[in-house]
Amino acid sequence: MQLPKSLAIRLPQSWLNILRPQQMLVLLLTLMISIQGYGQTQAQPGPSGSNNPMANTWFDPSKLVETGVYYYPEAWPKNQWSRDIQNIAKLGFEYIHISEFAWSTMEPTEGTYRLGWIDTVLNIAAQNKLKVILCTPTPTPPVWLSRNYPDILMVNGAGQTINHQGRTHGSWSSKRFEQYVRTITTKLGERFGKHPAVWGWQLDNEPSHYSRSDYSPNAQQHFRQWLRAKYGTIAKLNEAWGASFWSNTYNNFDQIPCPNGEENTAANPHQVLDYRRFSADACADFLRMQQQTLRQYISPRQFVTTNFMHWHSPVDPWRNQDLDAVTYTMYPVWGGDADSANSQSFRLGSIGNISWANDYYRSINGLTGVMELQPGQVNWGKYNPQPMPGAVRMWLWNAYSGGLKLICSYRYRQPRFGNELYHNGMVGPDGVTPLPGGLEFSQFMREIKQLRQQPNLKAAPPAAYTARKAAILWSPDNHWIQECQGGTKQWPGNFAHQFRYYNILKSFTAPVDYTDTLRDWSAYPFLIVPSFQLMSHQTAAKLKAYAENGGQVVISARTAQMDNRGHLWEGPWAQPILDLIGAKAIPFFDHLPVEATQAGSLKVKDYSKTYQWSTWGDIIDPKPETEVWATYQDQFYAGRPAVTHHKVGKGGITYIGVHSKTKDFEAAILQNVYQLRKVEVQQVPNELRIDWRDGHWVACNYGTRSVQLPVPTSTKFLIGQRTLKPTEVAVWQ
Amino acid sequence: MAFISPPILRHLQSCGTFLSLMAGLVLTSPNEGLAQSTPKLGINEVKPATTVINPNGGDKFFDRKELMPIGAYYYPEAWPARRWERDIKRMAELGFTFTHLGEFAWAAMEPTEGNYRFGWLDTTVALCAKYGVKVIMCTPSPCPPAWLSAKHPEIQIMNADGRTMRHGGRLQGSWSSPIYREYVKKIVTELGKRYGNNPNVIGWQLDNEPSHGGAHYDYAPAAQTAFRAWVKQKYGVIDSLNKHWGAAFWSNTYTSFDQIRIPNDKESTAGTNPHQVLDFQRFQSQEMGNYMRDQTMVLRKLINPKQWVTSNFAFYKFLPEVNLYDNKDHLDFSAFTFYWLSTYLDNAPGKLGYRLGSGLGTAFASDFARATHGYTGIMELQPGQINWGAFNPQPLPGAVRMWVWHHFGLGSKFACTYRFDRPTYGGELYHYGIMDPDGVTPSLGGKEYIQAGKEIASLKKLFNPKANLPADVAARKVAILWNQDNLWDLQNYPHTNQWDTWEHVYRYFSAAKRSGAPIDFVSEDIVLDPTKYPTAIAPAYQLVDAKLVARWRTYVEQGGHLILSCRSGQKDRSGQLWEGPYIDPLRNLIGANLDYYDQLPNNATSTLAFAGKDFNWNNWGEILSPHTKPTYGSPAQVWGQHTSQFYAGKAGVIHRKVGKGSVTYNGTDSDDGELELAVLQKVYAERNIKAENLKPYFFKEWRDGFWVAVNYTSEDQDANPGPNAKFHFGSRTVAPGQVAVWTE
Repeated sequence: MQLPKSLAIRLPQSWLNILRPQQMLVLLLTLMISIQGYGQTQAQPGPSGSNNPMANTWFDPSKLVETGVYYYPEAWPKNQWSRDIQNIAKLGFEYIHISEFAWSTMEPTEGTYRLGWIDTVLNIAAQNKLKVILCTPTPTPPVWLSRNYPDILMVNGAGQTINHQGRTHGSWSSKRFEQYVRTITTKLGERFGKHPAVWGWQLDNEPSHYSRSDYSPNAQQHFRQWLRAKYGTIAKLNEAWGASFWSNTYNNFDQIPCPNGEENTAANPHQVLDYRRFSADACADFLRMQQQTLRQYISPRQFVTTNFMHWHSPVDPWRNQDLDAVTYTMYPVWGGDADSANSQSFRLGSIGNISWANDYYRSINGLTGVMELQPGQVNWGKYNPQPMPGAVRMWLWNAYSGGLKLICSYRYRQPRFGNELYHNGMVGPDGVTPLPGGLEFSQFMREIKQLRQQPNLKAAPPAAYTARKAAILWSPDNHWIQECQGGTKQWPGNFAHQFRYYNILKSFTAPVDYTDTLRDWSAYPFLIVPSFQLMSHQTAAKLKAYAENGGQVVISARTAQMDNRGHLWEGPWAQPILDLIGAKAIPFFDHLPVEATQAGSLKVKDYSKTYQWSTWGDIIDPKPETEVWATYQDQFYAGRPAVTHHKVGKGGITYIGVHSKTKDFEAAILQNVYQLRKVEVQQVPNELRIDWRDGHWVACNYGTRSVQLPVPTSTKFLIGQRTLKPTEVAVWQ
Repeated sequence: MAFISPPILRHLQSCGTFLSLMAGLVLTSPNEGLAQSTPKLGINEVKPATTVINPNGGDKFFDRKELMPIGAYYYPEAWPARRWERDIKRMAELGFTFTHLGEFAWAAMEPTEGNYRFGWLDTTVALCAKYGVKVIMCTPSPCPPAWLSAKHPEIQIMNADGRTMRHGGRLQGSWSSPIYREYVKKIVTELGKRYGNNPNVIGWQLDNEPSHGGAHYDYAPAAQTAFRAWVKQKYGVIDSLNKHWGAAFWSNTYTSFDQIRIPNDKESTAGTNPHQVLDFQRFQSQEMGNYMRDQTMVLRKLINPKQWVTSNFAFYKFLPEVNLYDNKDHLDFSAFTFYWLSTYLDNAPGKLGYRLGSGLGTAFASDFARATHGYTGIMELQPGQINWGAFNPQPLPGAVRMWVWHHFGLGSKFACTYRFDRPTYGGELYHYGIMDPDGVTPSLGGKEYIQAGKEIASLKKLFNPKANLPADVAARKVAILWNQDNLWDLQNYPHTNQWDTWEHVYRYFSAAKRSGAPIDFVSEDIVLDPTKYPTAIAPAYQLVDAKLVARWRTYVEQGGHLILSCRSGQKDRSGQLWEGPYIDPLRNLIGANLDYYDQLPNNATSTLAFAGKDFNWNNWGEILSPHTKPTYGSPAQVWGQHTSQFYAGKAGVIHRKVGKGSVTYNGTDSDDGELELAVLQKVYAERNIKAENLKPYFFKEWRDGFWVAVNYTSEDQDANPGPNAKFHFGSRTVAPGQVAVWTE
C-alpha cells in the first residue's frame, strides 16, 4: 500500500529506523487507522469537533464539555479516599484523573506490581458515578530504576546526570527506559484497558523535560542515528549544516555531538535546528510507543491523550496528531505575562492565552481539552497573587468557548507536602473545605449542566461569523530557528510574533484555526503567514494557488528568508515569495535601538495616525502594479514601503515587513485586508473576548471596566447580561 | 478600584467544624477517620535542655571595667622576621592590647606532613608578651596546605555543579571528610600543646568565618555518605523518612537509606523536595558544628580554662547557611565579623548611606551573636576601604570611628579588626589595614580606629560597676524569637520574588531599635520569661509544633506581649502544611483564622489602615477572620484593615488580650517598615510604655552606664538625652557619621 506522502513526512525517521519487521506490521495497521482519522481531520476540524468516527463515543456531544480533577490516592491515607471521591462528585465533577506520578506505588521494587489500589479507586469512582482518566506514570521513574540503571537518566548540558528527586528525568532516548516504560504501560493496559470506569488515558505528564535538553550517551547515540537516517551520507550532512565554515566538517556520523551551549563557543544554527527536530521526534516517539502499547490492550472506547506544554522547545504537539485528543496545560496567573495597561490583569491573566491554546490545540486533530486549568493561587510563579474572585469561572467559560471536550484541573486537594505545597486545589489543606477556585469550578459545572438542557445546540454558526474565519500557518521550525538566531534582542520569538496576529483576529470576533503547509486551506477566506522564515518553493506555490482562488494572504516580516535547512537562498532575498508579494526585491531590513526616542515611525495610506516601530523592518521595492499600503516616515529610507498589497487572481497577498511597537499598526492593515473581501469585522475592546460554540455565544471580560456587549437589547441571556462587569461571563443564543 | 466580590468562602471561626456557604454542599469534618491513619513514624532528635542565658557570663573572661579593648589581626608568616618586632611594638604604642594570629598559617606551621614549624609563632608570641600585647590564637583549618590536598584530594568539597574546589582559596576542606577531620585534629593538638598554657594567649578562634563561602554547600562523596547516615539516624526507618519528606508526591519514595542523595537543583529538571532540602541544611549546619566541636574537644584537654574558645562567624544575608546555634554547646561565646560597606547588605537611606554602611546589619549581627551565650565581641571590624564589594567606596571620614563606637554601645567585649598590616599581595590586596602598604603609616581608617580605641579607653575612669539599665528602657525590652529553620525554609520557598526573610526580620528589628528597645534574640531552648522579656516578636515563624504554641500561650497568659507576623505557624517542623485550616495550631492563640494571603507585583500597591493612617504594602498580605467566640482570652480587635483590592474591609492586623498579656498578629509585610513600627508602638502604648521614635538608622544604645548615639542617616539627628545628660564625646546634635557619648 502507498502511504500518503504527507503522512510519511510526519513520521519521525528514527522511529522507522528502529522498527523490527513484526513491529512494522503493527505500525502499518496503526497507520491505516490513523490515516483514516488523519484524512478526515484534514477536512478542517471546526471549533466544535473532529470527524474522527470515535469522537462522539469518547466525548458525548450532548455533554458539551466534561469537567474533572486530579486526585492523588497514593498521597493520602486510604481511609480518606471514599470521603474525597464522594466530595469530588458532590462538587459536580464528572471524572477524576489519577496516577501520572505513581510509578513507585505501582511498582515499589523491580517487577513487584501493586495495582490493587487503582482497582479500589476505580471502584469508588464508579460508585460515585465518576469516570477516570488513568495515566501512565512515566514522568517519575521509581528510585530503584534510577539507582540500579543510571543510564536511563537524562544528562544536562553541564554534564550532570539528572537525579531522582524531581520529575521527567527519564531519557526519551534510553532503550532501557523504553523497555521499563513499555512494561508498566502494558501492565496498566492489560489490567485496566477494559475497565468500564476508565474513560481515557493520559500518557506521561507535560512531556517536555521542561525545556532541558538531554545530553546523555543514549541521546548522543540516538541523535547520530537520526542524522544517519535523515542524511544517509556524511557529505549531505556537511552540506546541509554548511560545515565548510569554521572547519565544522565531519568525516563520519560517529563524530557528531548534540549541540551544547556549554561546550560550544558558537553554535552551528543548522545543527541546532536539526537537534530541535530530533528532540521533538524523540518526545513524539516516546509518546507514540506508549500509545501503541496501550492500544494493544485497551478498549477502542477509551481515548488516549497527553497534556502538552507547547512553549517548551523540545516538544511539538503537532507531531502527535495521531493521538485521539491533544490537550494542554494552562496557568493564567503566575506573576508574569500581565498586561501593564490593565492594573488588575495580574489577577485575571492575559487575554488570549486560553483562547489561543484552545484554537492551536483544537486545530491539531479537532479533539482537545485543557487537562490542567489553574484552580486558584499557585506556588511556582514569580509571585503568586490571588486570582480575582470570578476569574477561575471566567477561565472555565473561556476554555469552554473554544470547543474543548474536557476540562480538568490540577488538583482536588491542596498538597501538604512536596514541591508544590502552596498550590491551591479545589479544597484546602484540611482536605474538605472548598477554596474559592473550587467553588467557582462547582458553579461552572452547574451552569454547564443547565446549558445541556438548552435546545439549538446543533445550530450552524452564523454566516457573518464564518465569513471572518482565518487560519494561521504554523511550523515549529520557524520558532526553533528564531530561538537560535533571533537577529535582534528585540525579536519576541515566533510564538509572540504570531500571537499578535492571533489577538488582532480575535478582536475582530473571527474564528481562528491553525494549519500547516500540508493541509487544505480552501475553507479559510483569510490566511496569515507570520514570519514563516523557512519556506519551500512548493509552499510559496501553494500560497499563490490559494490566492488565485480568492484567498487573502497576509505574510509578515522574515518570511521565506531560508530554505528548510536554514540556508539563505542563492538568489534574491526571500526568493520564493518575491513574485508572490509583487516585489522587485527586499533590498535590506533594519533594526532600531529599543529606546522610544529612537523609534522609527510608519504611516498607513489614508490613515492620519503614525505608528512606531523598532524591532524589525523589511524595506520593500514593489513592482509598479503592487499597491503600497504603508511607508517608513524617517531614517535614510523615509518614504519607502513597509507594507504592500499585491492582487493575485481573485485574491491577494499583503506583505507586512514590520513588527511594530504595538499591535495597532498590524490591526489597521488587517482591517484593510478584511475590507477587500467586504467582510465586516465585529471589533470588540481588547479586554473582551467573544466566541461561538454549539449554537450559542460566550463572552468573557478580562478588563477592569464594565463593557456593553454588541448585541441587541432584546437579547435573551442564558448566563449573564448585556453589561458585563470584570470577570463576568455572558452566554446567549 | 471597586469590584463586586462574588462570595468567597470564609472559614468559620469555631475550630474543628466546617460549614460551607454553598447550599447543598456539605462535606465531612476534617478529622474524620484520622485516628486509624498511618502508623507512628517519628523522628529521633535530641532536644536541647532549656537554658537560661547569663548576660554577665562573660565576666569570667572579660573584665567589665576594661570596657572594650581593641586588637588587630597580624600575619607574621607574610612578612620578613625582621619586621615583626617593629610592627608589634607599633601596635602596642597605638593602643592595641591584643592581636590575632595564625588562622591561615597551616602551611607555615606544617610545611610538609608531620613536619611542624612553630618557631616563627613562638617568636611572635614572645614579642607580643614583651610589648604587652595579648594573643588570640587561631586554628588554621580554613586553609589546608597544598601537600594535604595533593595527597588527599577527597578532603576538598564539591560544589553543586559537581566540581571539586581546589587548593588556592580557603574554606575548601570538607567537614564530612573523616580524613580531613583527623588532620585538623592533629594540627589543633600541636597548637593546644604548645600554646594552651601560654599566659599571653587569652583565647582561641577556631577556623575562620566557618562556612564554604560562595560554594555554600558540600556535595562531595564524603558529604553524601554522611548525609545518608544523618537521615538514617534521624528517621530510623525509611517509611518515616518518606512520610516526613512527603515522598508520595512525584514518586520520590525511597525503599532504602542507601538510595538517598543530597538534593541538588542542578541535577533536576523540576526542582527538589523542600523537606529534603531543609533536612540537608540542618545536616550541613550540624556537620559544621561537629567539625568545630572536634577542635574544641581537642583544645579543652590541653588548654588552660582561662583561655576562651570562640569562632568569628560570618552569618551574613549571603551566607544564610551559617548557624551559630549548632556551635553553642562547645564554644564559650560566638564572635562575628562585619563589613559595613560590602554593598551586599542593607544601606542607610540618604545620599551618604553607601559611605556609612549597614548600621542595621551590624546591630543585628551583634545582638544575634550575643544571643548564644549572653555576650559577644566583634572579631573583624572593617578598618576602612575594602576590596571585595560590588564597588568599594571610601567610608565617610568619621565612619570607622563611629563603627567602633557603635559596637561599644552594643556591648561588645572587644573590637578586633582585620587587619593591622595591609596586604601588598594575595586575594585581598586592596583591603585596608590599620597601616598603609608602607607598613608604618596609619591609614585613613586606621587613624580613626586608633582614635576610637583611645577615646573608649579614656572612659574607663568613669566606669560605674553599679550602673543599671534605666527602668524606662528595660520596660521596652524585646525578645526576637529565632529558629534558623524558619530562615532556611522561607528562603528555599520564598513563594514570591518580593519576599526576603532577612528584610522581614530587619523590619521588626529596626522597629524595636527605633523604639529604643534593648533586643535579645531568643531561641527555643531558652525560657521565655515575661518578666525578663515583656515583649516578644516572632517574625514569620513558619515552622511550629503544638508544644511551642503552648509555650507561647503560657508566656502570654503570664503577662508577655507576643507579636506574630505573617507566615507564622503555616507548617510543621518538616515543612509540611497542616491537615487542617491554614495555621491550624496558631488559630486559637491569635483568635482568628487565616482565610487566604495575597502577593502583588512590585509595581502595584495595596493599602492597610492602621491607627488612622494608611500604610502601603505589596510583598505579602493576609486576610484574617477573627473568632467571635475564642476558646480562651478576649475576642480579637481589628487593629488594621485592608482598604484596597477585592478584600477591602477585611482584617489585616489583630490584637487581643489573653491572661495577663496579649497577642498581636500582623499579617502584612511592608517595604518601608513603618507599619511594623506602628504595630510595636501600639503594643507599647496599650501598656503606657513610653517609646522613642528614632529615625531609621539613627541608633541609641546604653552600655555600662554610658549612652551612645551613632548617626548613619545623612542628616543631623537629635540625641534627645535625659535632662541631666553630661556629654563626654559629641553633643546633643549628632551629624552624619558622628557619635555622641554621654552619661545621665
